[in-house]
Amino acid sequence: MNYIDPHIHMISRVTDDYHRMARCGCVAISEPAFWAGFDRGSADGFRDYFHHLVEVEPKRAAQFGIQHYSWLCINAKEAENVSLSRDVIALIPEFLTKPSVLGIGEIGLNKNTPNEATIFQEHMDLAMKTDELILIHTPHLEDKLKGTRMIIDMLKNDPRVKPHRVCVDHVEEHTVRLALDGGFWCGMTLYPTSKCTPSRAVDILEMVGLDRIMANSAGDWGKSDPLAVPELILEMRRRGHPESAIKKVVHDNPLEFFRQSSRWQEPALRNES
Amino acid sequence: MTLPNPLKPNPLKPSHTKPLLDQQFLEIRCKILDLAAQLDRLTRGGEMAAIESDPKWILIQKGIALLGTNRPAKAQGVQELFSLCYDPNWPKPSPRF
Repeated sequence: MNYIDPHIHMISRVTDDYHRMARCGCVAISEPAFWAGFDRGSADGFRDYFHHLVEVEPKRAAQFGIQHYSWLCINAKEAENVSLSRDVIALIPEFLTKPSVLGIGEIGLNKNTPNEATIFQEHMDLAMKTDELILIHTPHLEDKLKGTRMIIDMLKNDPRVKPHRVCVDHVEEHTVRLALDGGFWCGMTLYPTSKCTPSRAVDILEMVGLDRIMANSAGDWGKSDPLAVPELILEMRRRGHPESAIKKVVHDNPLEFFRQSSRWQEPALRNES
Repeated sequence: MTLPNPLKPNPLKPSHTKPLLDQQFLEIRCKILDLAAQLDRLTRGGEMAAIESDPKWILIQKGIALLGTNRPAKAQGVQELFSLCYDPNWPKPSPRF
């Protein structure tokens, strides 16, 4: 089955992963800007990173017939440095002309600090000014519920925000309804230990339905599985769920969300074998 | 703010309980066994008194107790148990129009 991984950090993955993903049916991915595993020292480091996201990765993905899209921002962890964050936010507009950029992301909160909230709002101001889609990182573990509520407070506090143009990512059992009830899209991250397993993600789908929800691997430099979305497909099949339902979650829903981007270009369709 | 699109009825039906139990019995047994072994490991360390008031140990005990209740949505309950408190009056930044 053709699928889309709407959140994966291919900059941290080897080329063989693209190959394996393509063999499993991956036709497109989107790669949000994130924390590199260390705090960068200057805005120039981000300029190089954004260049990598919009120029280098699309070419690497194209070798395997995978369409590569990206999202730009300074991540929540480095957003604690407000001065650096403002320099990075000022860089973003020059990259928003690139056709593969879907919007602003993954912005969000990490430890739910006032500085992180300030920079989250300033990213939203940019997204509203430039009419961009928004992809949101919600915090990990014990910070997730509080942080997700704070993020939704900020989204609802801004009358310019159109919920159907926002995806709240890394939702789990205790946060998925906060996102859906607010009218937002949401993403479940299939990630060992700290987020959702494929089984729990299918449990969530059985509880909340198939609308405005997608699944991703968030594969990165940590212990993660770039083939996590195919694992979800297998789990849904194991439970006897119809192919149409599976396709909606792993292909049609991300496509519906991405198509709202002002720069969206419809990729050539690959025939199902 | 645009009103959210109403969600459609969920077409995914969960599996029936009896065949699910038959199918998952060994997996559940394995997870209980893993948890039991992890608790044994803590005990073998010989310093249980030292963690009696550790918030992490208290949370683990509450989590195990929650599994033995009849409440629905146990996974959500465990998630909420392991979550920090939220203050709805936190100082929010203002949008710049």
